[in-house]
Amino acid sequence: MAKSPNTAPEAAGKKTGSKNKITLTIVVNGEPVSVEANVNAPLHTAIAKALEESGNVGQPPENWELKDENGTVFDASKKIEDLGITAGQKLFLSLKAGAAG
Amino acid sequence: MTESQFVDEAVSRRKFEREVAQYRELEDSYRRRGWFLLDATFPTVLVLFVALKVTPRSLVCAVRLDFTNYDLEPPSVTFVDPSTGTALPAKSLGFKMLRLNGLKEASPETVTTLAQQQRLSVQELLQAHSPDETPFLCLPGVREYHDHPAHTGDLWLLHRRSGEGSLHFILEQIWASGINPIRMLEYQIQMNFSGFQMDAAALPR
Repeated sequence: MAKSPNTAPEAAGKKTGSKNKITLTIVVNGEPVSVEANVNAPLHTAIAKALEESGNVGQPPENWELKDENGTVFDASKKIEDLGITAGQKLFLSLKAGAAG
Repeated sequence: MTESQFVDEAVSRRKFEREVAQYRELEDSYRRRGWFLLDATFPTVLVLFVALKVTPRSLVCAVRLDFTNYDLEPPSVTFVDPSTGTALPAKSLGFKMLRLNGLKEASPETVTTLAQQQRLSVQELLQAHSPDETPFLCLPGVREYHDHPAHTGDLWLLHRRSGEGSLHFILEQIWASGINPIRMLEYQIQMNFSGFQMDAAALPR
């Protein structure tokens, strides 16, 4: 798995210059990456950035799901602000398991 | 599964250490999910899973991942007795790993209703040929899945760069399908009739 030099989990919680932008820490398949997101944009925009940042290009974005620490899955089509995601929250981008059994 | 190391051990070891280091970086978060890494000595990792949403908080299982020949081969996954490391038979697990078939858009209320009506279609991710055999995790990214004769057409090498088969991926699947949904402890109580109890005051004098 390619590692990004820009990973910075400690950046979680930092507000950026624009009031609409927040920095999120997204754990992509176990690897934390720092992503700047616009709170008015749909969540899938942050997911795409996190996948690109972490070099996870082997699976299409729809094969991933973003969860909070408790395992609750977020609707990626909704605005980040509407989902109640705030700067400082650690999110987990997990690969959906393939066909099993 | 015990297998000899045929991949350059330094390569497997380095990749193993990277997986463990990534885990350690997020260990606090994982602990809040009830994951406890007990031991990580190449080529194996032993993780305990605790159900945190029940009272008393309960140890559900211990899982051993074997990274021999990683990542030319995916990790082997075995559910073990945490005190001895012995592989457990299916009948001793006490929990299941399930995935809902369909119902992607169904509300939690709909799923609960279907479950109460016993009309829920679920897929068992832990497979065993008999209750006395060691179960295996039937998921791409797990060695036992790719080694199974039924999956000869789904080679690990087709999945290797996808993110499947990593330590985080496998633990996440176990937690999401087997541990996180646990809400209650289930008991079976067997009662034996031992006789009638009499009111002494009602006895003839």
